[in-house]
Amino acid sequence: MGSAERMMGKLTARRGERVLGWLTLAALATSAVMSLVIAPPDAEQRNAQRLMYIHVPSAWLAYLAFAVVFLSSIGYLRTKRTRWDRLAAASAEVGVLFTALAIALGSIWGKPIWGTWWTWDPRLTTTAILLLIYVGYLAVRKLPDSPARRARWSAVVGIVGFLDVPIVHLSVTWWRSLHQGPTVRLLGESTIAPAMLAALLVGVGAFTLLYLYLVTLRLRVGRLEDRVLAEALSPRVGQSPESLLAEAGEVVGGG
Amino acid sequence: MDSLWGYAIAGYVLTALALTGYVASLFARARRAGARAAAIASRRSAAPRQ
Repeated sequence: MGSAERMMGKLTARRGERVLGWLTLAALATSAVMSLVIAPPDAEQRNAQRLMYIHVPSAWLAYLAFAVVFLSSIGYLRTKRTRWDRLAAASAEVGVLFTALAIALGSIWGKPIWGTWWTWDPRLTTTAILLLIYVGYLAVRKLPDSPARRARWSAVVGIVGFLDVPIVHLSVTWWRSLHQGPTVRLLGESTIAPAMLAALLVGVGAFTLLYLYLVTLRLRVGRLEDRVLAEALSPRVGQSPESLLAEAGEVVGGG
Repeated sequence: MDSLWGYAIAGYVLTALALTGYVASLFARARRAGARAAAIASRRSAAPRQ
C-alpha cells in the first residue's frame, strides 16, 4: 500500500510538473506576442523599450526568488528540516539566473538609450552586488563540509544577503540615479500606457509561472542528488537509503 | 533614432537561449543523478551479504 502510494505520488508529481511546463510555455508565448506585436512602440525609445517586458519581470522575480530564500532559510534554522534547505538552494539558483538576465537585458537596453552598456549607477551597482552575494551563496553550498553545517551557513548567508533587496529597490529614490524611477505603482496613478501595462502584467504572470516551473524542476534534481548520497552512504552506515532519506527529510542533525 | 528593433530582438533571443540552456541543464542533472542512484542501488543489491 505504502509503495503504491509513493508510486502514485511520483506519477502525480511528474504529471503536475509537465502540466506546469506546458502552461509556462503558453504563457511565455502569449507574453512574447503581446510584447513584440500588440504593445505599441515607445514614442522616444522606439522598439528598444520592448525590453521592459522581460527586463522588469526578470528583476521582480529575482526579488521574489530571494525572498523565498530568506523565508526558507529562516524555516531551516528554526526546524532543521532539509526540505527548507533544498527549497532555498533551488530558489537561489533561479534567482541568480533572473538577476543575471535582468542585468544583461538592462545593459542591452542601456546602450541605445543611455549610450553605454554599463555605468556605475546606484541601481546597477546594487544589483551587481546582489548577484555577487547570491553567487557567493551558491559557492557556500558547494563547500566540502557536513550537510548540516553547510545548510546552516547557507541559511545565514541567505538571510543576511536579502538585506540588499530593499536597497536595490529603493536605490532609485534614495540616490540620484540614471535609472528611471518606478512607473507602476500599487498606490497612486501609474505612469504607463494601458496597452503597455497589460503586456507588462502578462510578462510578470508568465515569469511567475516560469519561476514556479524552474523551482519545481530544480527541487526534483535536489531530491535525486540526495538519493544518490543516501545510496552511497547506505552501506557505510548500515542503514537503508530509504531510512536515511526519511531521517534527512525530517532533521539534519549534528554537524 | 531608428526603430531599434535589433536591441529588442537581441534581448529576447538572449533570454530564450539562457532559459532553454538552464532547463536543459536541469534535465541533464536529473537524468545523471537518477542513473547514478540506480547504478549504486543495483551494485549494492548485487554485492554478497556479509
